[in-house]
Amino acid sequence: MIARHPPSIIHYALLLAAITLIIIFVFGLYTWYKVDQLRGEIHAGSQAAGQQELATALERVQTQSIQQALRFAEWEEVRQQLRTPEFYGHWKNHRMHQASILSKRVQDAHIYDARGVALSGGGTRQLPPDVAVPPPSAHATQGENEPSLIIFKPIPAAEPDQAPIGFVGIQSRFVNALREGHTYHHVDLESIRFDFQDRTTIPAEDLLSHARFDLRANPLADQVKDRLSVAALNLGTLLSATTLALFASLAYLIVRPLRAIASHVDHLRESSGEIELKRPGGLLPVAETEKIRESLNSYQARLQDVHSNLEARNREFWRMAHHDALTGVHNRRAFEEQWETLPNLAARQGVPVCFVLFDINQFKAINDSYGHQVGDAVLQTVARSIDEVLRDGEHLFRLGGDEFATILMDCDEAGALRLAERCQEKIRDTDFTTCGVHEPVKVSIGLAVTHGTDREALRSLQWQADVAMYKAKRPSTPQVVLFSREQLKDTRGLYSNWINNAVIEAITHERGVQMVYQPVVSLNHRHTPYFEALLRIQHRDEIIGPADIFPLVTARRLELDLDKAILHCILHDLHAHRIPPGAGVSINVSGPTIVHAQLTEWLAPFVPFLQDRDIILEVTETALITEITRATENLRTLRQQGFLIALDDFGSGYSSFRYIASMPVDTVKFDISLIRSLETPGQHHIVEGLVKILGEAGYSTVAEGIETPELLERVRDLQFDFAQGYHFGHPTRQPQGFPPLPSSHRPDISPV
Amino acid sequence: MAAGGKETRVMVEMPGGLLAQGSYWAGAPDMPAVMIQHGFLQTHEFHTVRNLALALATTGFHVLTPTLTLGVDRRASSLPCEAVHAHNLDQTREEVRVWTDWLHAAAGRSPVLIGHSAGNMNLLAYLEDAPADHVAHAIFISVTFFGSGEVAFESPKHAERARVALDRGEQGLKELALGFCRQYTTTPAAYLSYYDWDRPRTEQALRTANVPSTLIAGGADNRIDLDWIETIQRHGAEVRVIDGANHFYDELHEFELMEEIEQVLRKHVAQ
Repeated sequence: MIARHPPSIIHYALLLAAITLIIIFVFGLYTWYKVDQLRGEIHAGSQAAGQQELATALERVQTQSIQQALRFAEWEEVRQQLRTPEFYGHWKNHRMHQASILSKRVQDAHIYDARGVALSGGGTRQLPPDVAVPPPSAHATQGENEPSLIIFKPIPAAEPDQAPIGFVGIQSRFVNALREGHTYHHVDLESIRFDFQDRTTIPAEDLLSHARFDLRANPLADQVKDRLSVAALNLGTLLSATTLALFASLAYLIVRPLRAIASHVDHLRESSGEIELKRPGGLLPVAETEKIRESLNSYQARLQDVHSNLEARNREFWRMAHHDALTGVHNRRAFEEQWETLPNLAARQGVPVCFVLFDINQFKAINDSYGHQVGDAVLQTVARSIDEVLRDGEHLFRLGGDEFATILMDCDEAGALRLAERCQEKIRDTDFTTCGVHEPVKVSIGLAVTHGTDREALRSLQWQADVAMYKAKRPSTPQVVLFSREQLKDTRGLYSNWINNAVIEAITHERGVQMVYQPVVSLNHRHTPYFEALLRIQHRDEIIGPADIFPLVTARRLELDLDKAILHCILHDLHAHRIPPGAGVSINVSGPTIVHAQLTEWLAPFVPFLQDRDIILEVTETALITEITRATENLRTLRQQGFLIALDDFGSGYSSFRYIASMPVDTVKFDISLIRSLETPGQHHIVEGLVKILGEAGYSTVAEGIETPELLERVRDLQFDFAQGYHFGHPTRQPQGFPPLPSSHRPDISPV
Repeated sequence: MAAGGKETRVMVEMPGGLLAQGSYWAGAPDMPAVMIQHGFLQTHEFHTVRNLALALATTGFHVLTPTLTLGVDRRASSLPCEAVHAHNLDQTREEVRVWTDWLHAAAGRSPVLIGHSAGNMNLLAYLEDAPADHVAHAIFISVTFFGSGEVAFESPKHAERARVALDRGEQGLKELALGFCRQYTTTPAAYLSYYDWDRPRTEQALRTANVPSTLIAGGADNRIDLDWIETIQRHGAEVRVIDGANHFYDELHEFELMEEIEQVLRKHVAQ
């Protein structure tokens, strides 16, 4: 499609001038036509008037001639001649024309007797010697020099009813009569003539139709026409000149400045030429165009200012869009943009690339314990510390929450680990008391390095670092982990499709969910042993364990569904008597479930079982602190119903006695990391103190991870109330009873 | 005296076949009949004649005012001098006779003939051989004559030319002078029929007329020979002269003329 450009103003000006000239030309032609039409109308009017004048004159002449003939017929001397015609010749020649009866225009006259015979001796020119009786009516004849009008009239008898005693004939020059004695305004009297058209006579009544004449010159009409023509010509010339002058003025006053402005705007658009439009030859001649020029320059200046401000603001916006407002480091958008450029950059440089993930341990606990302001300060401090370790050109990105990342070019595994260690060292050396936190703040670091520069290898860096981070966040593992293929086994649930599908199907359809029960033995006589229900998912011939299930459930936010499936399964086992009668059972409940408003409804089916056995709800301190108010309310209600509450994994995270003191907890289960620490010389004092404090506070304590007799002996010495671990046997689908304690020890409760 | 009758247009065929016009007022039964003859080439509408006729008709007279045809059928206007004058005195005398007879028949009595100017010659010519007692009286007003009258243009030369032509047998028209006409187109015979009525012939006719007659003349009439009138009076004719009156008795003299004529007529009636 061809783009249509509107015509230039000069085209419009030319069009306007052309239209005006055309209108003037048409107006001139119209005026000329009207003048000619007026002249024609005047001529037609004059012709009609002339015709009327001639008709009037002709009628008058005919009337006069008839009257003259009548007078002549009634003349007494005519009767005298008719009676005594002896001297008719003398009378006709000497008396007839001198008696003032006949006018001078009468060429000849004759007297006829009653038979129509002319009196003898008179002679005749045109009049016939004999006429029919009655004689012919008045008519004109074409004479030698001019036409004549011949009229016959009867000579009346003494009585009206008597036949005429004779006739008279008169021949007169009527053309002269028409010319004389009449005033013509339109007819040129010298031009009056009659066209006999090869006829010798014409009836008098037809004379008008044979009359021909020319119109008199009409000086007034000609003068009017000439003046109108001259006036129209002058007006047309004046208007044409005015139009051309207006066109020239328009071109000079409007078109030229507008074209200059348009050209200037084009230059501005092409970013060439000066920004300010100079005045060509001083001020522009029209105020409006000068105003446009000034406005354009002013607008252009303001536009330039705005452009400068926009650039500054764009820079600011870009900075804001690419930096984290809290920490000042780059944000996730900046990270993604750099990540997009990474393949090309890596391919160009051909160097190994390292991706590093940072995650503050137990940051949520810090945030909730000290408040968001403290949490924010911790985030700022950690970010600043890590950023100070990075080299120039290396950026720290805050991916969200307490998670940071950086991309290191030309960095192999060793370099990555060194950097991570420097970061850890830097954070360890950082004084977080200025932030209001008196506990040490630690950071987990996941590293992934690739030597390949292809996109697939680079794309794998992120999940590899995630795996490493997942590993680093696990208890009892180093806080700096470099990804390796072996780590995939522990985190296969996160990435295995079939595990993924099996877990989701088991949760959503409660298909394949199995509970195995591990005994929690009592180390003294005050407490009753019970079984901890542990989750397994059977998919075909495979058994999926918690290591694969919980990362996926946490990642997919399926905690509620999973807990409901577990509760159903345990309730089913209870009804199926899979758990020995009277033996208690502990159920792990996730954080989202603990704070859910319908938790008591979901646990209502268990209430009847409380009559003959203990039912312990195990919650983690992380789950408790999520919504501590709601959690406390639910747990108090459940305790009132008879449920017991156990705090699980105590010491694995950011353990705080404040939670224990404020929460309705009955039992504290020490994390396996704390129990393992008993194997390290000099490490037992803390655990011993904790057990003593908790015991004195009324809490029962459970030692997890008891796998050896030595470790069992130690916890017994530390006055733990319960022990749990493989030392007492692996969890089973249908336990038959509690294992026996070693002989040196006497269990409080005999195995069932 | 009874009032006069209405004017009646009268048309009478003359011996030559021409129709002559006149006006007639029938008078009282006991009143005389009067015929008034107009002057040379005039008609009965001439004012002196008509005024006199109207006055007499009003008085109760039977009044007839004929117009001589002079060769013109139904002549109603005076005949110009330049017209063809083929008429003669004999024809006019015959027409006077016809009219007199007509009046005599109409009024049942002998009329009184009144002539004015040259019309008196027509009456005198008629009276020469008129039957006795056929005319009761004759009144000649401003009587004049042809043949070199007081104001006439004719001369013996014209008469001589006419006579020579007549002797030569020439019957054609000639332009001669007659009376007040300087160019009178007529034939020699017709011319001489009027021209021969000169003063002697007229005086002779007055003396020989066998009816009582009265002459009335204007004292200031320059167209007549007053001396001749006095001469006639001395010879016994009754002559009445109206002092100061001209040939046509214009203005107040018209009434004096009327009084004179009434006196003559009353006298005639008394007789």
